[in-house]
Amino acid sequence: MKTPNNLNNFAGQFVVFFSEDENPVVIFNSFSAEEAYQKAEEIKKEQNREPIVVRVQENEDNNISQVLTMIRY
Amino acid sequence: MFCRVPYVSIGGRHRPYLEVIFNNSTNNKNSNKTFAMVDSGADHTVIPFSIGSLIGLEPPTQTEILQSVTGVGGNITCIERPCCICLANRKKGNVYYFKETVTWLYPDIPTQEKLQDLLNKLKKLEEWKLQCVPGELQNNVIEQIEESKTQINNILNKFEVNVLLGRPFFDNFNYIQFFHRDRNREDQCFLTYMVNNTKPARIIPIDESVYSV
Repeated sequence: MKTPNNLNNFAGQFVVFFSEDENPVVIFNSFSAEEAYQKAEEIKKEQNREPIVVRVQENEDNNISQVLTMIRY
Repeated sequence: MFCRVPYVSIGGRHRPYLEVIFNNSTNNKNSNKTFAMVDSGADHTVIPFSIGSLIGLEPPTQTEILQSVTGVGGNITCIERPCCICLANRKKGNVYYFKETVTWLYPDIPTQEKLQDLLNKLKKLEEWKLQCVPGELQNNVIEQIEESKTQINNILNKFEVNVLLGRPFFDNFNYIQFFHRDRNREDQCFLTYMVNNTKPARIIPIDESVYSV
């Protein structure tokens, strides 16, 4: 389970890659989730492998617990 | 039988991620494979708007009250939905299906209306672009299209946090151990987990699962 080493360059974007590769590379990137999911489906059909789709958060240095409490209003 | 997961880096910081697929059992639609952060501090298992939409979770009804999640970055509205979380154990060759309740980040009505307005505007601009002859006017339309897309993404990004596997998900395991000795050596950290075999709704071989394409 590995990730491309240049993900910092894709902050705020959805990236598509193969996590089982020795040195994964970003195959596709987009700010749109829809585009990324669509591309991942195409890649899956073409390569017969399931790629990872994940969004690179803008500020990974400060990714403390994102959900602290829940209030019903 | 336990499974060892290395801490994975997304953008420079190593964190405990599991590779998971979300499944909507009502229509049997699967998400793409994605990383989900194991977060012992999260009260809920949280999925972003895009994943819930992709697998066709039922949107909130008119009468349903959205909840509010308070976290870093302010308040976000959300709704709870049943959802299956699929986790592959490659060493054992199995995929486990866990029936869970996920907190799906979902825009409130004013935000939905704003989004719809922007989407309608974008649609009109796209149509207009096709009718324009190449030149200054078309370039102006293209600029407006890009601007609309940015506005739409800016709204949606608020609902696109990392997938969090919170405390309720821990109940599916006999144990989870985190190994995190030194912040400077995060790349050498890992977690181990052992599935409680009474918890999965289904256990099937990887070859017959959503993980085999």
